[in-house]
Amino acid sequence: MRRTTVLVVLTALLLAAGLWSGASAQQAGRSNTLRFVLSQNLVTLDPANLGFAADRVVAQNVFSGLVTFKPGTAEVIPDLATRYEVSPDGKTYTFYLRKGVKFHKGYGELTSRDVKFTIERYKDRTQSRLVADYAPVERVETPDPYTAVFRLRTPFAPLLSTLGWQSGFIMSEKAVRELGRAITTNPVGTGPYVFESYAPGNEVVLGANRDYYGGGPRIEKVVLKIIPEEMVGILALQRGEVDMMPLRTVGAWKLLKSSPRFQVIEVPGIWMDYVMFNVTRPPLSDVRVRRALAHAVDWKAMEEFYSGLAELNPSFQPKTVFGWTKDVPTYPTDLNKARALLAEAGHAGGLALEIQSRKELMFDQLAVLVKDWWAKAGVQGTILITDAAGELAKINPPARNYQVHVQGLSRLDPDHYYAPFLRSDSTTNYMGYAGADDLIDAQRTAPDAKTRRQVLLQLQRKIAEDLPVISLGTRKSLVVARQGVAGITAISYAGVVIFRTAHFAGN
Amino acid sequence: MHAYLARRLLGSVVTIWIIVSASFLIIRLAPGDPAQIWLGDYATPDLLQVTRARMGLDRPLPVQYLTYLGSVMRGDLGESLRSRKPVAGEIRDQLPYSLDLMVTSTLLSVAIGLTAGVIAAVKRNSMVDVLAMSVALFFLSIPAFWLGLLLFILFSAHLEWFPLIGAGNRASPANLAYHLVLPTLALGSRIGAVVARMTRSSVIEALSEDFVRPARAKGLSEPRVWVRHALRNAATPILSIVGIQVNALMGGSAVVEAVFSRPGVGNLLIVAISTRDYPMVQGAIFLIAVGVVLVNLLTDVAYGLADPRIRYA
Repeated sequence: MRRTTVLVVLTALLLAAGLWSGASAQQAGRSNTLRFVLSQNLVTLDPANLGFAADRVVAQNVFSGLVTFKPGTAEVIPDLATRYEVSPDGKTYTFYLRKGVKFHKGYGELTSRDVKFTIERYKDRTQSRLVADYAPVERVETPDPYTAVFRLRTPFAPLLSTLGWQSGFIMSEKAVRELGRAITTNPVGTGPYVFESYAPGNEVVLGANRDYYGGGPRIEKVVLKIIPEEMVGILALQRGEVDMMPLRTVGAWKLLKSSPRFQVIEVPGIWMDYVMFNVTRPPLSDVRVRRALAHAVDWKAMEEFYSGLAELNPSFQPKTVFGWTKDVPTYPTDLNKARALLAEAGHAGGLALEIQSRKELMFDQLAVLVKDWWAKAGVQGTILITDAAGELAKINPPARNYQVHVQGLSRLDPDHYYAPFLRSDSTTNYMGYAGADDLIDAQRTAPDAKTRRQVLLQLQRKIAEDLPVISLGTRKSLVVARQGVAGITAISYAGVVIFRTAHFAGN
Repeated sequence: MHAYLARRLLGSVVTIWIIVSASFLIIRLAPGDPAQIWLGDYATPDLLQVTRARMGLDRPLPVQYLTYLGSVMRGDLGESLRSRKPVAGEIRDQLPYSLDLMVTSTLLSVAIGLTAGVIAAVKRNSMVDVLAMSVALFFLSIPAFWLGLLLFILFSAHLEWFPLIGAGNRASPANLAYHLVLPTLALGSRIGAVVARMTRSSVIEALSEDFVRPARAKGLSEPRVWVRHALRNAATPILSIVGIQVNALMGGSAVVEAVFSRPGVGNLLIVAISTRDYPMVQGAIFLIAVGVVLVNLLTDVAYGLADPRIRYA
């Protein structure tokens, strides 16, 4: 009896203590602290290996690159470099570095040696997944501590975008050499925030970098709370446990967009929703079938589903990315035409298709919509849901063991849409399309912007005509914050926010 | 006793070896190439090859298997394919949160289960008994994740009594406990129910035994008879059921961790499976296997302490 009593009393005491401490924790001061929702644990903050959403949010605020994107656009502007020059043949890029830029945590001043070291590290296939991005870069020269010269084998139009996005963050040579593997969870950058601490499953803490060259941030501390479920994040926001979070789904968007307690910050996004076809096998190797399926899409219902979260876009690339046009062949909703095209292709009696999808980021919901629309044109869809890894194994070339696949992509340079997904020899050409290699190469090596734009227009028309993929729409990049947080800078890459400009109203 | 222990330890090693081998094979049977997942759309054929080589996936399966077995025996669980950090370190970071939850769940379930079971047994067929056993049946029938969701919706989302997320601050035991309340209830109540039912039937059986009458005749108080004589004699089956349930906890905790956005080994395992992080999956399963085997061993040894009639030879 005694022992049981003790246990019961102990448990009761623990519960009471917990309740009390929870209450006091909520009252604890957080005068100039911004709390943001992170959707997952950190994996690695090594810029050579970035890829997960949460890592990107942290990296964006800790690191900076030679150039950057003007937020919400695809325009490249100077950052660590105050200016840059491109040689007329497009094979030499000269960057003039800002002087007096300090790496975090006492790792000294940024020099061209760090630039050279970083790019060489990115090109090292044993350390980096960015090797393909920098393949055309032959070497980086450092004529003086504040000048970095990139020598290219061939002209390479995407270089500035590559350097302006997270694939171009400059690392400290000294920090990488001293910290070794530890840099994955102890990043040293030159950005507006210094990485302070990380408690897995709990939170990441960033502190303001008082030496930041662009003017110190106004928020002293940013606490990134790890909350995997979007709905739980919304509850936390409603309860005042966090100040800000990215919005990912139509459900969350509808719930919060009209609430007076919150503000939604939206910028044009780069996230494309696609219905991809495996064009290497019948019946989808027949362009008439693919066009029929596009005509069977209920575009009005598509727009209604998005309810403002995304915009319809007939091109393969987003509007904000260089060279976009809407002047491409389109496929207005027309069930008669769809049936006629199917009959012409020998499927008058109907058709059965398997639609591959996964249960995240609304892909499964898009698959259901598509299946229902196609049913009206006599196409019986079966939806197959797997996890992301299983899906990759299924759609990967050369096997391409699928028919239809709902997928999304988010990139900042047009080349990063076309080359990996539509070039015939790419390992991520899930569709098996091979009709535009010449155009893809031409936009990549175009000597100037005007030529590149011309090629991109042709490329977009060609893709829309051959239709290996139906573009459904471009999602916006959305961040929701409680009233009272001002100066929020969202960028086109959904979910990534720049904290430097944020502040609390009246602060 | 020593011979018995030696035999049991040997058996445990074999069990762990079987589990390690099975986890090695099964995760490789799941579709998906870790190198491809890691490289994403940066993959080129030769980069894929280099990456597979770096991950050690280019070697024949038997070679991979033997290498892995060798490093496990040296206590090296390898390096995560995703974060490139040592698996052991990543697990060590998460383990305290899982242990917290398992310990509180076990304590809570044993405390409540024993109390309810003894009361139900001595008040057999009364309203108290019927009520206690109905409640136990309810918790026995409800899966941990479902109960967790209900608790979450009611106490966290609506009433706002408990936190929405996380495991709290490790520096503050009170704060940790506050974050543990709902997950503990979700995970522990099922075991509590099992323990209560087992305690009730064992104590009823013990109370009908001959030794109870002399105990009462000696003039011992009723609570003393129940606990000292009946419960002590009913301890062996209760112990074994607690042992079995603690093992089930290790699996159940993964789901509960997910429901309450808690860190922990279970959550680590789920993410590792979805990214085909082979060493991490193997490491987490290895750890759980060792845990289960240890708990079993301890349970068996505890029999001897609880019941002097059991002697190991």
